[in-house]
Amino acid sequence: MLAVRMLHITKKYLPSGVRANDDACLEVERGSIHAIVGENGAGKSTLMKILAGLETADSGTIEIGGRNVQIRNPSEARMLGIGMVHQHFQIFDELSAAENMLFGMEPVSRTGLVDRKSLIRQASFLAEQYGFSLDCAVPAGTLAVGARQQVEILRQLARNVSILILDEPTSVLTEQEIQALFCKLADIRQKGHTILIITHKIDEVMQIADQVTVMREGKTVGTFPVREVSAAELSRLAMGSADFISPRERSKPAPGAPVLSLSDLCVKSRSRGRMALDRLSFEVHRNEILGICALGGNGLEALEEVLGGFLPPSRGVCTFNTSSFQVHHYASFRRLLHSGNILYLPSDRMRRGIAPHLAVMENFIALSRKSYFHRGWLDASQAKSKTLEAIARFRISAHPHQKAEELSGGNIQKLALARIFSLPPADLLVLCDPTWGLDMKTTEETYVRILEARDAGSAIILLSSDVDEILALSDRVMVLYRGRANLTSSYGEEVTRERIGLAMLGNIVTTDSASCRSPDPDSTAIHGAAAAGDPS
Amino acid sequence: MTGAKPLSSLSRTLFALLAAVLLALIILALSAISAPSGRQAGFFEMASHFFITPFSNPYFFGNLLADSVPLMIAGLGILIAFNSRNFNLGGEGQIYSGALAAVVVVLAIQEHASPVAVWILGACAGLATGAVLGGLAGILKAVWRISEMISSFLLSAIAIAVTDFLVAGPLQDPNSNFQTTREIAPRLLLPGILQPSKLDVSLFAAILLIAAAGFAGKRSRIGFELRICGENEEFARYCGIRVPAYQAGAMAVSGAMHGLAGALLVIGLQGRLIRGFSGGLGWSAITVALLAQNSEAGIIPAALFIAFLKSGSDQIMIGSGLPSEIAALLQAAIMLVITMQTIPLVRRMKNKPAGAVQKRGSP
Repeated sequence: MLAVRMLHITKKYLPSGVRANDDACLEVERGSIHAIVGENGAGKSTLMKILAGLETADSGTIEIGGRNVQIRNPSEARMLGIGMVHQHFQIFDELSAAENMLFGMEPVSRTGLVDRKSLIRQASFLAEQYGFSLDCAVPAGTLAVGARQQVEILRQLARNVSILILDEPTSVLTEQEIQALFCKLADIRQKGHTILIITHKIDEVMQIADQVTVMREGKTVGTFPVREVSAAELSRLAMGSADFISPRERSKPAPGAPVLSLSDLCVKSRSRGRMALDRLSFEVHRNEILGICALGGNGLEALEEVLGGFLPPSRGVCTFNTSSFQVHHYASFRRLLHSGNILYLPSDRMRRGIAPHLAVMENFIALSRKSYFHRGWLDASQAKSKTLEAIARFRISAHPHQKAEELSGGNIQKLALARIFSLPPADLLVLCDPTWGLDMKTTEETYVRILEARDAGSAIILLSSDVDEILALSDRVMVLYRGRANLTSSYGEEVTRERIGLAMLGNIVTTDSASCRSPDPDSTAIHGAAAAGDPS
Repeated sequence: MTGAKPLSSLSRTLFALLAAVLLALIILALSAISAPSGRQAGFFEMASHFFITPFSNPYFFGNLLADSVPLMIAGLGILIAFNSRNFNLGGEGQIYSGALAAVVVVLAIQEHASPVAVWILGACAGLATGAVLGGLAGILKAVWRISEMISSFLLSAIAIAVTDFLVAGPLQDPNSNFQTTREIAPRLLLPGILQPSKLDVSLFAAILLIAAAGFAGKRSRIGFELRICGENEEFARYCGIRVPAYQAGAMAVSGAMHGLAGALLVIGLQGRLIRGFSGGLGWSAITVALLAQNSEAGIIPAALFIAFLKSGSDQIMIGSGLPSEIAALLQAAIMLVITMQTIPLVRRMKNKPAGAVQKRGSP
C-alpha cells in the first residue's frame, strides 16, 4: 500500500529559473522508513517541502493514500497527516517542552486559561507512548540538542501525523544521539507511521532505511530497497560521474618540527567540581593532522573553546613553534589566533561562525579585515571581487549582498570554509567538524583542501564527533574520555574504528588488541547507557 | 513560506504613521464634542492648527526645524549605541550636562574670543561631558557587565541633579528672576536662519554629521567592526574584535552626541542654560532612533516628524484653547502607536541571535 505517490513534480525557482525539481517521481510504502539521498542542491528538500505544503509545485500530481490531493499550505498537509521536522529546529526556547509540543492545542480549563497540569500530563503521556524519556516541564531551551529534536518529532506526532518528514535529522546530533534517534524511528515505524528522511549520509541510509530514493539535479534517479544496493552504488548514483577522489591514497610527507605543544592543560568544568580537561598533554607537528574525538561531554567542547580563544584554561604550558608561555597568560595565545598564526574553524557556525544579518560579503571579509580596509576604509570593489571568487571556487549558492541568514546550513559551512582557506597559510589550523552539513562531493573537496594544507606545511588539529572523518583524515588519533586522553596513537600506527569506539566509551585499550578493562567501577553504568553508541 | 508575508519595515512604518494620524483626529474629534461650546474651537479648526499651522509661515516652520536639530543629533547618538546593541537611556542627563559644560566654558572665555573659537570650544565641552557620562556606563558594562541601560540612566539622574544645583546655585544669574545662568554675548551665538524663528546653522551641522556617520558606518573599519559587535558578539570575538572596547566606545560616542546636542542648543539662539530646559529631549531622541529603523538616513524624517508632533500640539494649545493635558495625551498616543511597530526591532536587538542549532552541549 502506498502512503505517498508524487508524479512528475516540477518546480522552478524564480527569477533565476533554476529547476529545483525536474520531473521528480516518488513512491513511498506505508509503514516504511524511506530515505531520500542526494547532494546539496539536488532538490530533496524542495520535493519534501512540496509534500509538506511549504512550497507548491509548478506541475505534477500528488496522491496520499491513493487519493489525488492538492496541498497548498502546511495546514492542508497536516489535514492529510503530513508533518515536517526541519533541520534548524523551530522551538520557543522560553516555553516548556510540553508547551512546544502541544502549541496551539493546549488543554484549556473552565476559567479559560491554559491548564498547565494537564498540559504537562498530556505531553508526558505522549512522550511515554512513543518511548521518549523527556522532562516535559523544563524550558525547551535548556534541553540538549537530541531532546529538542524529540520535542519537534513529538509535536508532529501530537498532531496525528502519519507521514513524518525529517530534514537532515542527524546533522546536529552526536553519535550517541543518532543511535538513540534511529531506535526511536524504528519504534515509530512499528506504530504504522511512514517516515521520510532527507540525508546525504549513505551509511545512515544503509543502517536505518527500508527504501531509498536517489536524487540528482532535481530528478529522481531511482528507488531501491536498501537490502539490494551497496553504499558505493548509492554514492555513485548520487554524485553522477564518479569523480571520487580517495584522499588517503595520496602520498604524505613525514611530519616536521612540532608547532604546538600543550602540556598539563586543565580546564574547570562549568557545572560540577569535575575537570572538563584534566592534565591533557599533546603536541602536533608540521605536515601532520591530529584527529581528536570524544563523545559529548568528555572535554572536546572545552578543548575547542581553549584552542579557539574563548576559554582561558586554569593551568598548562603552551609552546608554539619555539616560544613557550604559561597558558594562563591567555592573551599571548589569543594574539596567535588573531595574528593569523593559528586559524580556527568553529563547530557552531550559527552562533560563532556568522553574523546573520550582515551580508555574505561582510561575513567573508570579517576575518581578514586588515587586507580589505586600507587606512581604515573599505576597498569595496576588491572585497566584492574576492567574495565572488570564493563563491565560485567553493560553489556557494549565494550573492555577495545577500544576508547570511538566508543561506542554507551547507552554504554557511562552505562560507566559513572559504573564509579560512582564502587566508594565507597558517602554522596551525584548528578545524572543528569541518564537513558538517556538506554533501559528499563538497566533503571530498574539503578533505583534499585540508590534506593540501597539511602537505604545504601546516599542522592541523581536527576536532570531530564524526569517527569516519577522524579516520579519513588523521595521521594520529587522540580520544578524550572524561577530560583525559584515553587513547593516543603514534605516527604510522593503524587505528581501527573499534578501538576508537571502545576508547570513547571509557575502556582503556591496550596497543594491539581490543582487549579492555573498565577504568573504574561506575564506567559500567556509562557503558550501559551509551551502549547504543558503541559502533563495534 | 507561502501565505501572508510580513510587511516590510518601511511599509510598516508608513502604516503606523497613518494610524497615528487617524488616532490624533479621533482624539481631536472627541475633545471637540465633549468641550463646552464657546471655550474651545471646533474640530476642523483644531485639525488645521495641528496639521497646517506648523508649516504655514517661516516663523513656525523655522521653529519646527529648530526643534528637530537636537533630536537629529541625539537620535544619531542613540542609533550608534543601538548598532552595537547598547541602549543609552541616559540621554536626558547627557544633553543637560553637555549644555552646562558648554555654557561654563563659553562664559569663561567670552571676553576675548572670536565666535568660531567659542563655537568649537563650546561644542567640544559638550562632546567631552557627554562622552564621559556615556563612556562611564560603557566601561561599567565592558569591565563588570553592569547593564548599560541601568547605569546610564542612573548616571544621568545624578548629572541632572548636579546640573540643577549648579544652575540654581553657583552659576545663577544674579540679575534674573529665573533659575538660569548668565547670558552669552549675542555676537558669539550661532548665526540664525529664517529669522525671527529660533533656527540656526546647527541644522547643517546635524545633517553633515548624520551623513558622515552613515558613510563611516558603511565603509570604515571601525563602523564595520561596530556592526559586527552589535550583530553577534561571539562572532566578533571569533574575528578578534575587542568587544569591550567597542562597548565602551559606542556608549562614549553616543553620550558625546547627546552632549553636543545640548551644547548646540545653548550656543545657538538660546544663549544661556535655563533650569530643566531639556525636558524630555533625551526620551524623544530614543523615539527618533526607533522610528529611523537602524538607518542613519531615516533619522532626518523621524526627527522632523517628532518635532512636528510637538509643534502641532503646541499650536493647537495656543490657537484653539485645547487644554494642555489633551495636547499631551495627543502626543503620547501618537508616540505609542509609532513606537509599537518597532517592538520587533527592539526584541531582535536585545535578544541574542537565535542560536537554534548548537552542535554540542556546553562543557
